[in-house]
Amino acid sequence: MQIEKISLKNYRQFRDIEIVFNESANFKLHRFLGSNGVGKTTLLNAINWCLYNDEPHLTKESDVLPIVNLNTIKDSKDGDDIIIEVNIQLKSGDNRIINFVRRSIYTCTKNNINPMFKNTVLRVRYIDDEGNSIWKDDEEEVSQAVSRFVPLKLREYFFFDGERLETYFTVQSRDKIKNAVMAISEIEVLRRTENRLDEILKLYRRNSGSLSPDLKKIEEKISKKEIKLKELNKKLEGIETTLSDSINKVEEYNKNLEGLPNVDELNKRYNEYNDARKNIESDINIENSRKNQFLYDLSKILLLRGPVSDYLKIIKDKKNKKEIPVVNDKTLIQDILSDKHCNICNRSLDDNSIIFVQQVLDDIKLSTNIATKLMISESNLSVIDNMINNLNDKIKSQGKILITKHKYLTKTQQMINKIDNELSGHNQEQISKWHRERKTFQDIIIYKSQEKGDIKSHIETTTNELESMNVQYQDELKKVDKKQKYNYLIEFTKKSLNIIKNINKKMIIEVKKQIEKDTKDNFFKLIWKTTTFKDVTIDDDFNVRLIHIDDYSMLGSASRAETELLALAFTIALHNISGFEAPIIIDTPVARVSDINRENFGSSLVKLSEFTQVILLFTPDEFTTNIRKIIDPAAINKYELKLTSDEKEVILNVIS
Amino acid sequence: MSSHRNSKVSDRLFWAKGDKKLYDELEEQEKFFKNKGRKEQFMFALAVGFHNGNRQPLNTYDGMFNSRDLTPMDISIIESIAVQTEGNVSVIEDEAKIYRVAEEYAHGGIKILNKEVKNVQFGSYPKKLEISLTELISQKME
Repeated sequence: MQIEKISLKNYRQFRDIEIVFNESANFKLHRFLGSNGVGKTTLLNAINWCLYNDEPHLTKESDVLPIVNLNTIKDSKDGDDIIIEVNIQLKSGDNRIINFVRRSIYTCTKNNINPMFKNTVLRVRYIDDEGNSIWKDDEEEVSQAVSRFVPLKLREYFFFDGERLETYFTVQSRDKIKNAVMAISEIEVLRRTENRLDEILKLYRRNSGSLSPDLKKIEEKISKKEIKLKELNKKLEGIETTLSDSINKVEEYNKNLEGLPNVDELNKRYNEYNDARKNIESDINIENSRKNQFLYDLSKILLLRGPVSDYLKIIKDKKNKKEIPVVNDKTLIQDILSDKHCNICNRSLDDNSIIFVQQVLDDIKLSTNIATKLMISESNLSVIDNMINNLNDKIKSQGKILITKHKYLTKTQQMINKIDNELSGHNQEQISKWHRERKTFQDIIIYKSQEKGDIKSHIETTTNELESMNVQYQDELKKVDKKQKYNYLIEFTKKSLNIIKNINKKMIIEVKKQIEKDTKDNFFKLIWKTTTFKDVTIDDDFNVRLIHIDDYSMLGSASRAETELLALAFTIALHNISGFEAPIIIDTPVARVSDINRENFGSSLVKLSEFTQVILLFTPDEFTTNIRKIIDPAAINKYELKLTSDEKEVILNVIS
Repeated sequence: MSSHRNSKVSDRLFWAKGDKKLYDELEEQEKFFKNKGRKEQFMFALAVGFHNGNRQPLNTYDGMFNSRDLTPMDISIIESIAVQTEGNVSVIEDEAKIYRVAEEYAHGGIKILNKEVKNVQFGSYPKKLEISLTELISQKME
């Protein structure tokens, strides 16, 4: 079903305007362009007002103004009735025309500021393909007609504000989605039947208790168990809600934190690097001190290596000549010679002995004292000699240690600078707060998942207990219910209840599955990225998830355009499943999308118009040259909304 | 305390009056020489003095440090200088003499060292020293 025409009379800025939506074989796309406050959102409200008698997109500014056109009020006299009329003309696939016409009457008052509401009526006119027309104004019939076009519960999936598309899958919206699916499944009647059957079953059981005290006891036990099971199920539902809310919250924080540094983690790393830097600096200082000490010792050795080597050479020569070590004490022999008396054998020296002792004395070149000193020096200076030989290696290894440490220091400093850069210009407190809050929800998810497992196992046990009680009850009932009165009634009610429950469950699952499949198909048909996404899923709590090619849920980190596109894909899926072939009207469709994504999203809307009527209401800001290039070639109607000079009436310009 | 070195062995090693100022300046100017102690500074100045062939007699004497502070290695080094200077190994028996030779080289050396430290940028003496020593090592290798 497509909108063919909308006529507006005296409705807010629209004093007398008729908007035609032509048909085309290719694209069913119509675009409006108008600055803020000109009347784009008013047009969306007019459609809602006509069909549902409310204006859900009313801004604060519009809310204080009368619904009647200001110029009409000005031109009216006190007591005049003013008629506001919005007429939406639809054309169905089988060429039937349907008109929804809401007419409200307001009476002008003396001051003419705010006319008084008198009444409002919505009528429907059907015109068949031969031109026969019939008007319906019975409230119920009209309401049914509206519901067959777009039911109230689903309207926000047909007429919506583009700026709200990106918040489509937030926690608050989940219940709306759930309601929409329920509405599509039309299971409310089944739900009511299920509750009623449950009550009847309980009543029969209570009454059967009068047959025997044992049966009464079992019935009481069953009732208590059922209450317990209900409580457990309620608890499980609560846990699942908390879990799913927390998952969504984590995704929201992921989105908030997208592209922002992990401040806590970075600060932790900053401190670690800073500590490391201090340690390296201290190590370098120690190494430098060692090196300086080495240089100090090395200087003495190198500067004096000449005399040291020569001295060592002298000592070695003397050793080679057996001058050292000294075997005879030179002083003792000198004393013997001067005393001419040998102190060792205690006898006087004769001439021959004097000549012999003199010869021995002449052979001793060094004193014992000198020889001892030379021996000591040889051992001391050999150390220096060895050191000189190994100097190169030692200098190299010391240099290497310092170079390594300096490299490490440079790297550490670079990391500190990098972290500094990453943190600079960000509101660290806010980011840190988001991280903490996300962590809280992540902890909740862990805790609640465990709790969910516990409750599920508890439910399983309780269900088993309940089943065995029911068997016990049945056995007892068979014994005491001789006429099979209650037995038959209870069995019948139980079977009916199970059937209803199963149908209920199956219908929801079916609808959910179908929406999931259609959303996925639509999304992949419209998305411009071909390798980023893997899947679109809807879980039992009606949380829509966008799965990355690497298997993680990424709705939280998807761009606005991607989120909007997913919302759109979901909306189209709802359209298909619901069977309501209504147009999609989007106010400011690409206002929240920027850059290349804006153009991609624009192209997707054009694609969408191949199979659904799409009416887009742009502001000049979002209707960039590139968007115009994408939209205008496909648009059948191009309108520009402007205000009159007194800013009280809309002028509709047709753009060729 | 002021004294004259004589041929008798003293328990002190001496510097000339005014040398203390040079050693103190050295410490002030360059961290490299800080907290080394007088004996170590003396040995360094001695090495520099000898390497540059700058032996200068002390005209005045002030006690610099106790000879007990010298390690056996220091004594061996001092002996080697004395032997080379005097051309006779027996000089090592004359402790007073070998100390005098050492004092005279240290006296010459501290003046050179003081100038060197003052001629380089503050803190860069170790680097300069390292370069000179590397050259000396390569000369030895050749």
